Amino acid sequence: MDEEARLSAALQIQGLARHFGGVMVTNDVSLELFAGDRVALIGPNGAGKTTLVNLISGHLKPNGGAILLEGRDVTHMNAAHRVRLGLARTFQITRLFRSLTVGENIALPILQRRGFSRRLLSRRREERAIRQTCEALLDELHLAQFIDTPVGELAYGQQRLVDIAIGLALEPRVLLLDEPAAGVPHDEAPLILGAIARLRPEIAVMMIEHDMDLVFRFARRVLVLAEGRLIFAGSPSEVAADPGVRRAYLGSYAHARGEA
Amino acid sequence: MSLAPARGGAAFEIPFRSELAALVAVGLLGLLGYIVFPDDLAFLTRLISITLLVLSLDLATGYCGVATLGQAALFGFAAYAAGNACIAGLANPFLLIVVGMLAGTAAGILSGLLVARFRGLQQLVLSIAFGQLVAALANKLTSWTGGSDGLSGIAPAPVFGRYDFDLYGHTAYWLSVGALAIVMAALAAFVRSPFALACQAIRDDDLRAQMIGMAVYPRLVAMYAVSGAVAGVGGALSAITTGVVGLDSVSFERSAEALVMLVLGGAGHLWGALMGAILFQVFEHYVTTSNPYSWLAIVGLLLIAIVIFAPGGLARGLDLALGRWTRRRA
Repeated sequence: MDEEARLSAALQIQGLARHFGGVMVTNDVSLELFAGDRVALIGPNGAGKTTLVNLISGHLKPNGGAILLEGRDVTHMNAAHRVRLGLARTFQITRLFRSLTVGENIALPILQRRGFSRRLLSRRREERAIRQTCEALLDELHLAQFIDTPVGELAYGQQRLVDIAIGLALEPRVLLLDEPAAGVPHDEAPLILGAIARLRPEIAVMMIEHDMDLVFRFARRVLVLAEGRLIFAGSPSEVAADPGVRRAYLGSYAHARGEA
Repeated sequence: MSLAPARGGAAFEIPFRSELAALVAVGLLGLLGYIVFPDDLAFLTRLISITLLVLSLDLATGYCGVATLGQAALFGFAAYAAGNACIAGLANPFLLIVVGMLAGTAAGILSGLLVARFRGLQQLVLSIAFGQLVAALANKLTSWTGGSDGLSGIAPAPVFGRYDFDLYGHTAYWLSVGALAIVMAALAAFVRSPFALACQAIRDDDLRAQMIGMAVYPRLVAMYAVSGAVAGVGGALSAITTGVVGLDSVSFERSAEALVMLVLGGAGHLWGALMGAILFQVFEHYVTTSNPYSWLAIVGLLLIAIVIFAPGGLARGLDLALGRWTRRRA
């Protein structure tokens, strides 16, 4: 590995491995994400996509390999520590602070980033500044009018957007999106697409997604995972044309589409 | 942390609004109690110290989602500490409250270090174990606690060097009302803080909280320390105002009762905790005298009704009802 590339990679995975019992769920996976990258991670069900994201974010400990965030080895750091170093993720099933308002959900990561979240007393001037930051962020995602709404009262598609907004409020260098459009009703899907299209260009984004339309629209690179291994990496059109990938994955996708 | 909308054009905002409201409200409640139950000041004084215990439980359970049935350990430990300090010669009641606060904080940290490591049932069982351990120690360490006879002979000096702890309990009552008012005002500010908001986030989803970079465990221990301080004020007050500390102050029953009051009023809600504690104890006081045999059954029925009809507790139920009412009128 060329030293310059190693330093400039926002996220670098080297020979990552994880097994559950005897099953290799992540098998010698190596990849790199660079600032501004838009990478889609695809693969059939059970390929180990979410496991890989859990390993990168620190929810699972790998059995082998290394994870470097901007050149820094984070393999043995806990999840919260990795977040503080610039790695954010969203969840396949939306996880929000359900009893709080949309604004409070966004304010928390902002407070956390600014180191205010241990304050025992609130200061009015700060409150206003943080509210303004929240408003600006929510405005980007067309959620500004919901700032004082309890997050549980939003439509599911909008809740997914809040999940993404929390990720963005952390000002990450690397953002992992685990099926951002999963479970979102068809008429709300454009919301998610729009939000992803407007993500700040300097963030390195990796998205797990099943929806091929979304993958082809979003990704400049596609990684294909099958049985825990990366079997292919290339541009969306290369991936679509590759017979091995078609066999492993796209065939069944086309088949499912044909049926639907 | 409140993200109150910046009111357009409002040039003037009352500073410390919620803190002042808490001071005034508790003061008025105190006055009301004084007028309505002039012969029951001892009962009301006891009610206030237990109310502080319920408030402290609200911080741990209501705001952080920590399941605990050992909160009385913090209260009782502080009561013994204040009682012993008084017997040892520290007679100033304000200093005794400070002693109780410090003791409660220490017990809170200790209990938090143990309990906050776990979640769910394990947490609940550990909290009970911690409470039982403290109760057993209180029973054994007779030189410090008086064992089952209780610790007696606590005779604090007059408040401000002027107001003696009189037979009618006036001094004890107003000292307690004052302490409760100050604690409520401090908590009104505290629950709006970024720290308390972070605790609520942990309660809602601790994994998500980690995923915004939050260190969950230290935060829970810190909240336990604050919770212990509040329980400590209650414990110290109970020692100062009654002059004795018994084993009941560290008992499992006291912890369980506090939890019942909290659920009744509404966990995660400062005024809910206050309301639940007051209503439960006033209710208990009256029903036990009018119907000593079946009062627990009546309390049980009441609780079932609350859980069914106002699952968020009285405070939330009231909130919803008021909201519905104002919406209908609008």
